[in-house]
Amino acid sequence: MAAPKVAVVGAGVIGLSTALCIVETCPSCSVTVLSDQFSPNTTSDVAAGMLIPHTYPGTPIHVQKQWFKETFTYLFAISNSAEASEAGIHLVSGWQVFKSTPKEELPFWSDAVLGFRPMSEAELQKFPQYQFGQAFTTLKCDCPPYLLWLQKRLKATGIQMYNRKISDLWELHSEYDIVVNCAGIGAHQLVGDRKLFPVRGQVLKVYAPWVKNFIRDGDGLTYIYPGIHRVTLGGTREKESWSLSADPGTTKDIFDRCCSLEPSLREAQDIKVKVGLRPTRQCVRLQREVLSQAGVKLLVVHNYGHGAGGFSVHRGTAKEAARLVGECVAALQGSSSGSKL
Amino acid sequence: MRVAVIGAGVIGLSSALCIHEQFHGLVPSLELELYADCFTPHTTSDGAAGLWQPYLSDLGNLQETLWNKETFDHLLRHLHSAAAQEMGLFLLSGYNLFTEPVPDPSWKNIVLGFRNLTPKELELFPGYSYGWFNTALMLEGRSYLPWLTNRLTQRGVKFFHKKVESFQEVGGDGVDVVINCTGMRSGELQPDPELQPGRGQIIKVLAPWVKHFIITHDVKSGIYKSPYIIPGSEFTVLGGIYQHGNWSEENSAQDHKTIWESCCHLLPALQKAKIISEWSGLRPSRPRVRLERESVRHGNVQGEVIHNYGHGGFGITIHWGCAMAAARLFGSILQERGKVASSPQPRL
Repeated sequence: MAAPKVAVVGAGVIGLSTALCIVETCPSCSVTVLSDQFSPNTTSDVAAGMLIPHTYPGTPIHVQKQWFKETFTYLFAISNSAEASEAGIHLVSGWQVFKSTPKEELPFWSDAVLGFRPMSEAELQKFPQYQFGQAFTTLKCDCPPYLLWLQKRLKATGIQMYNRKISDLWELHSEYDIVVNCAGIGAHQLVGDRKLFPVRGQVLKVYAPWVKNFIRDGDGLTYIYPGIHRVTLGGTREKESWSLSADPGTTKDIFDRCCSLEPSLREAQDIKVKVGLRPTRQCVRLQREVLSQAGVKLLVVHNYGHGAGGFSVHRGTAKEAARLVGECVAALQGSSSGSKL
Repeated sequence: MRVAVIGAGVIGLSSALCIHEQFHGLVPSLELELYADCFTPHTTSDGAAGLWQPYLSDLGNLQETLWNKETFDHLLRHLHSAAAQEMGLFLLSGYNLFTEPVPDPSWKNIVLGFRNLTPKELELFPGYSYGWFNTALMLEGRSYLPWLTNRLTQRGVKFFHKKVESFQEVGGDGVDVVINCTGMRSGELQPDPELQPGRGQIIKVLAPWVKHFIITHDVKSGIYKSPYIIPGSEFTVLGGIYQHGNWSEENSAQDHKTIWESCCHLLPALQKAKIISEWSGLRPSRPRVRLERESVRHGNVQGEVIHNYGHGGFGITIHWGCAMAAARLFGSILQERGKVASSPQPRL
């Protein structure tokens, strides 16, 4: 059969990294990226891009660990190369602090990051309201640079990318053989997934170049993540809120909480406020589906619902999605020659 | 009572501040004057990256280790103050790398979170098989020196832009005590064969993605002869030059090549960094810091000089401990002259 035509819907970190993995593992595929938003307007652009995993209640821990390790290894190599600054990938060290000792002192990813250990007494003195903490070194993917770098690598392989709003995956059945759904929060509308809901996050991106270490409250609500040019201050976790407008009261609250962790932030300049909707689900939807209508079939691979952990597992899930695309291709080739399923 | 401080690098300014803070209340007539031919941003201190880190070994010199600790603890206390950002003070974590195991340094319990590097971390640095990770402090001269200057100006300390040719020049004329913080050029005021330049050269680049210091060591060659990378609040400093006895303050093309190639090899991401400027400076090196009193005659008047120079490549690291020690020496001069009661000096 002719080169299988694959459409990847979505151009956030999941869509772009999945497209790249498909090209890497399935060179015979013709891949196109379709999205109504590209960087700097995706949910990924709002995120700090820290590699600190979120735990999905519905996914086995060993799978999440595998995804994280794959992602970490992949980015670690880039951070240690001449491409690091263009890709926006850099190492950053810091502390995760807890007001009371957590039940689980060793998270599942503690051996995947670098130098993980409990904080010393002297280090904890810097955080008088906190009883316990962990120090480690991890990676950060700055956006837009990382997305722009992925786009550049995709274009170099000949992939086309189009700004196009898809309202229904069926729109694509005449042009494409396989559709990869990386629509993030858009999947709520696109495929009517009611198990997917937004968790609204508001963040501040400030100029405070003297902040070189990250600080995160173990409750996940307050964090300070230094990026290449700006520091991301967060945040909020508002379930089921669809509002993309910045709330000024929230801005003040985030700023105050971060200043109490790091007082020097009072001198931060040029505060920009951003809002993103984390595409949240009990587990990442990473599976094949065959849609059929009037005897016509459309092969779909879903890769969405990464919630707060998109960056942490993106490469691992992209590789799995590419593998599923490979299965689709095999299924197409196994069917009667030349005709579409 | 007139006191003249000579030198406006980190040592001169901090000594002046320490003395003024401790004694202006006790000695109402205290007048402090600061003389220098060179002020920020043109001093040796301005060229330093500003990382708090002593040499690997204190060579048994416990006194210097204590001064280093005093400095670190003093700065750490200021970290959460409103002044920190203006002072150019912030925490910085990073790596010290070796080609073989080495004993722990004298300062392992002074810095925060000191530990050995894990095998995975060492993968980042091919050619290095051993190392340390810790969190230390940065105190950038370009911010700290102006901050010290402002504090001194607020306190009424007078500044004189002048090259002092002799102790007598400032020592006569009613000045009771001279504080000699002339760094590299102390030898011009009083010959000191133990004071030698440790020439350094650095390249300043824009590489804001670098969030850690990386200092390599070649234990056989000696300190600072191996590449190092220190990210500041705006620029990242690349270095790795230490030439004992070389007085040249001209940038050398050969040294530039050495620094650039070795730092890019150490951190490949630097290849894309934009070079902003280059600078050479002379570390005022001495087997040990000269911090002591000396009586000097001007005519028929006995004057006191407190020497505080020879801090090599660790001036910022040790400065506050030395300033406090200089202030203690000053206090003993005051006691001897009956200017203050002979009770232990109050410490701020």
